[in-house]
Amino acid sequence: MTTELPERGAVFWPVGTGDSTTLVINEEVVMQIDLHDMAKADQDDTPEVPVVDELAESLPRVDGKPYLSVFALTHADKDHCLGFADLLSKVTIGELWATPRLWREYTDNPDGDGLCDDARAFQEEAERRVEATRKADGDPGSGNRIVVIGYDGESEHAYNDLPAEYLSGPGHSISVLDGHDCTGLFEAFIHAPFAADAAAARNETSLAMQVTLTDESGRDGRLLLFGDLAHDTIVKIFSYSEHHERPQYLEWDVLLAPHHCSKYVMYLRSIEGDDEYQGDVMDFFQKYQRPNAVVISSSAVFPEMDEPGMNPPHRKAANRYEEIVDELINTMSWLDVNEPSPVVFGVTAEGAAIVRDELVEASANAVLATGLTKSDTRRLGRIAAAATLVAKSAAAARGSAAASDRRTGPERVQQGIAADRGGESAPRTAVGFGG
Amino acid sequence: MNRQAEEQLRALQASSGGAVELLTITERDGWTNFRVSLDTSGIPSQPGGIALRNREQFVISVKDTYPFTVPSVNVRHRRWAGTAHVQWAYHLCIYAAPSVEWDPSDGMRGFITRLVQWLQRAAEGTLDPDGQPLHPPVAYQTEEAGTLVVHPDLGDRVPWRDGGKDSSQFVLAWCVREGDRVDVVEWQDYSAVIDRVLADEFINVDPDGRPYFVAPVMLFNGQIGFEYPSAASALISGLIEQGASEEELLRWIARAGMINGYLRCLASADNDDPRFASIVLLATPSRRLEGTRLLAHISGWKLDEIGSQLARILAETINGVLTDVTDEIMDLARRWLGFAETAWMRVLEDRAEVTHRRDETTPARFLAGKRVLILGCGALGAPIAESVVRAGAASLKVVDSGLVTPGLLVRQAYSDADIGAPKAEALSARLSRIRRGLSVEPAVANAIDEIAGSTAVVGYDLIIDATADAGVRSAIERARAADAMGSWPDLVTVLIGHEAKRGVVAVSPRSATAGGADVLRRAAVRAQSEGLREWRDVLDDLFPAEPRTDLFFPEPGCSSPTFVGSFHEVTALATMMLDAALAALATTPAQLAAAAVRLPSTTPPAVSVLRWEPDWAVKDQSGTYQIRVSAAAVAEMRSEARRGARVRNRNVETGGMLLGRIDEATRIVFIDAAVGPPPDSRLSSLYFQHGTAGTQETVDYYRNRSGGATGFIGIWHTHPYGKARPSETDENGIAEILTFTGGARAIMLILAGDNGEWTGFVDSDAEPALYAEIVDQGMPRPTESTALGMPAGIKFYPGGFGYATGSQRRNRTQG
Repeated sequence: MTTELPERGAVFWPVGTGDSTTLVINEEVVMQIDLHDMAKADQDDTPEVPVVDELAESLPRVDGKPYLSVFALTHADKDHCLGFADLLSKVTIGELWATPRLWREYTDNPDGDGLCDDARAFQEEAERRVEATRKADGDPGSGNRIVVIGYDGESEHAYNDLPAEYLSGPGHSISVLDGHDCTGLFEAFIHAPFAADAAAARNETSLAMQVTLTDESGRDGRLLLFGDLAHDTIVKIFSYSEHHERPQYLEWDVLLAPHHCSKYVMYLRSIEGDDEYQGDVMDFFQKYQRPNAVVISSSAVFPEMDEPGMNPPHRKAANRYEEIVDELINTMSWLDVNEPSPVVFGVTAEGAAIVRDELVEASANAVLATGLTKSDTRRLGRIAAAATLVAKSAAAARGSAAASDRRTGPERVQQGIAADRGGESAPRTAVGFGG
Repeated sequence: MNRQAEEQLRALQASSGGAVELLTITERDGWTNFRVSLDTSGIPSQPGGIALRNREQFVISVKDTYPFTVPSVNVRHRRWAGTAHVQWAYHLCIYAAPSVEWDPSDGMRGFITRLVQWLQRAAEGTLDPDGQPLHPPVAYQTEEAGTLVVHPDLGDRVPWRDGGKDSSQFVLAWCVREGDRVDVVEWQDYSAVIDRVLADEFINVDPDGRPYFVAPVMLFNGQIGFEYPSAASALISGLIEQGASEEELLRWIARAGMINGYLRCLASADNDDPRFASIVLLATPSRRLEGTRLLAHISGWKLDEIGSQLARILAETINGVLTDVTDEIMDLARRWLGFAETAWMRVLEDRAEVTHRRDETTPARFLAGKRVLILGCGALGAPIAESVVRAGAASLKVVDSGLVTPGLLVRQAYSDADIGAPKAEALSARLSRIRRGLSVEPAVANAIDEIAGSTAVVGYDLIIDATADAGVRSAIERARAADAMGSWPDLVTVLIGHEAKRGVVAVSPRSATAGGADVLRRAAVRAQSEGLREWRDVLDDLFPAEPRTDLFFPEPGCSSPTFVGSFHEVTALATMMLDAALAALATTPAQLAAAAVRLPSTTPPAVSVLRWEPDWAVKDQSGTYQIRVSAAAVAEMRSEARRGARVRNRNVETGGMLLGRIDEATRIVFIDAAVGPPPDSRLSSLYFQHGTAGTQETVDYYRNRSGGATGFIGIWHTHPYGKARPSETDENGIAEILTFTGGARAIMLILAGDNGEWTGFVDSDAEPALYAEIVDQGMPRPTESTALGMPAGIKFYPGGFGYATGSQRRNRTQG
């Protein structure tokens, strides 16, 4: 049995409730979307193995230094950029993908405390690269490149003057990554941020895209990566692309559940504070899902019940996804809730699918036996092995997950019905009546 | 908006911890649609079963008449299309017979239970176990298309017999039409039809004068799916996809058109005579009764006007008249198929191969195919004759010399129009309308004459003497005894007593010696000598020791005496006796038998009767529910109040649990039982605290004894010499109960009364002042527990069971 993972694919790191997605286009070109290095978190249950260190070790090397072609930040929340400063210091990042929102938050209010340190580090690097590009009056070269995605029509910023090739936005595709032309292998179609949302809540300004990874045989796999978007913007994405007759850019084999499986993808809050279900967005998801599509939730294990005011992941959202796909994968409980494995999506001549069985584990064992840097395994295998180390560490730090409800659906339904019928139990405590 | 359905679903959402989720509610055309999600994880899927995700969404629709009408359920995807019991790809048939399976009182709880069971079986692929009929494809009928009644079996004409692979075959249906109803009388091959209609002796109408016509039948060897389209183009493309040919279909429409043209000529009918309107039948292997053999499901497509015209013109191409334009006509026909709408007829099946007789396992089956002679067309003969016809007798002759008179309409099944007509003729005319092909023969004759002669009874399988006439009985007895040829068939003799309360039936099988007169005599002898108590009343009635003097004369002075009795009494006795006779003939065909029957109102009774004392009935405070306190519960509460007055003090409150059922559908609270205070209760004149000791055992006892029909529903307590209204503590108390017991609602019943009222309740059998309140799960709860709310410093008495528990224990506690 081969222990080799496919050449092209994606790794979803088990990093709690936070995004850390690595796309491997080929041995040399690797793209990172968001980062959540829990080892940098200031919490008691912090895992020991840092994502940045393991990622760096598994990356290709250029001039002796780990090299990442692109780092894309969907938005500047901590659970999407934790560890960026560390990454920047240890890895050559060929090209940054940034959204205008950061300028609005950072430049317009430099003393504001809305941004975490890593977000500030990202923004300073973005500013540096914009400047470098302007100075170079053309291509500033790998390590200095930036692409600003989206428009902010309301304010003037330095990046406005960048040449068109360093600007992108909804309706555009990107296939060149840090100067590597990946046409035919990779395409990122940008869906958001919409210019009209530039001043909306930060989540709604998330970078959203469809990534297509294509095998040399022509088989492809499509991922919808919508950051932390909520209902209205997602519906807008679908409506907008339908209006422009671009259904191919809405299709998906993998949907990364927006905002770590938040219920606000398919529920709106009423004035009374109730959650009101919105079927339209689920209908859109279903309409464009390909056969055997899966939803991945990059989050902590789902709670049994949602409590008011609770942050994602939400049980309600998980339930809604379970109705439209055969499989909803949670990054912190994939394969084994007590010892999660990284979720690996691979694209081969046989098709696009989540890598199943024990292959990820076997591959990781083979890689780790030789060492991440020394291994001659394919890039995707090495990055998956790095993520495996992080997974073990994260699980150990968390301790064993709470025992989940082992009853089957029909058992839960029947017990609920029996309880509602009542009549089986006498009062369990004394009850008083006064005349 | 149906509030009750919504409340039930919301309650289930809460009680199931989200295993049941109510997502949205919409209203449309008088229906309320609930989008509901169910936890369907862990349901194993077998090959051939549907695949379930971890959760599934459903749309449950209820009418305003819910819960009295059953909800329907749909899915919003096509993943289960093509599965048995999934119609139109979206609609799930989860009840086979809602009128008996749907429980309005259980509401959404029962509905969702049923849905989950359906899903489990659908996932296993066991929704269609052997022996159950397949759910045939659904053709949604249009009323204008009329009705199709199918009589003959298709049997081995189907192409899928022996696993045949032919995609389709054709046969012709030999039909007659009356108004909108078409009857298929026979299936015929094309050549057989040609030979038949061209034969010299051919008669072009059926015995009732209706002209014959033919319809092409496509025997389609494939599953057309579970929906019949409303457009011909969709139907044709579906058929072609599975190997059938449009060409072939048109050719058979042409052939039928040609034959019908000829039959129309013979009937001197116009081209557009509606009796010859074209229909096409479709038979698919989609039914099953027993075993695995697939049977034809038949659908009828009534062609539109253009289609009927085309059928006529296509016929000309076969006749050789229009051969030069054949291609053009075929092209026209194909174009018609492209836009025609398919009007599906209502198909009513009479084929033995796909139907079960409703009397299949009853004694009536003895009559199937029998040739029967019935003597007497009166109160006994007429209902027996009708039974014989409906049971499928091959022939029936009814004999009576009498006329229908106005007075006998009271108890015999004749009508005003029959007055003056011979009974035999009026009866045969009525019974001949029941079954096509069975004409009941009348004989206006004396029964004794009818059986006279050595060959009079040859050709019958069964003779029923319903004359209740001693002369006829004797004549038969003698004729039977004299019959050396053994030509007398089975004989049944019926007669009833003078008040139409009792009857005796004698059964004389073909091989036995004794006829009716003898059997009755033997019965009387045996009953007397062996002291058979259960025969005494019948024999006293029918064969009194002294002749009766109190005879009944319907027209005093100028008529023969008869018996007193109503239509229902004589009809009941007649059919009870027939039932006993048929059972004897079927099970002990070699033995003489006699059976005594009685109406339920006689003594000894034929049925057992239960009786109940009246309930207390009171409305709850909101006027929504009626509370029916059974006499048993009243007795328990009264005896507890009496005991309290004796061992405690007349002012001390008491109370206990109520057991029964709160029925949301009828809005009735049935209180079946009440029990007294548990021993750890605290009782005082100001405060009653209901304890917990032994309460669960008590609830279990009542639930087990009633098979789960009764359960804990609330608490009763007394306000001796007080007001029948709740205090604040009471309100808190009852609300709190729900917290500890579950259930959607509970009842608090207060028994109170001023001096006279209260004394009347405790010391005699008067009803006290009553207050009843239903508290809902959704109502506001007390913020603090009242469990420890016993006011300090007051004297209290302990409780003590005064009622039976599982061990029938009795426990008296003195305060």
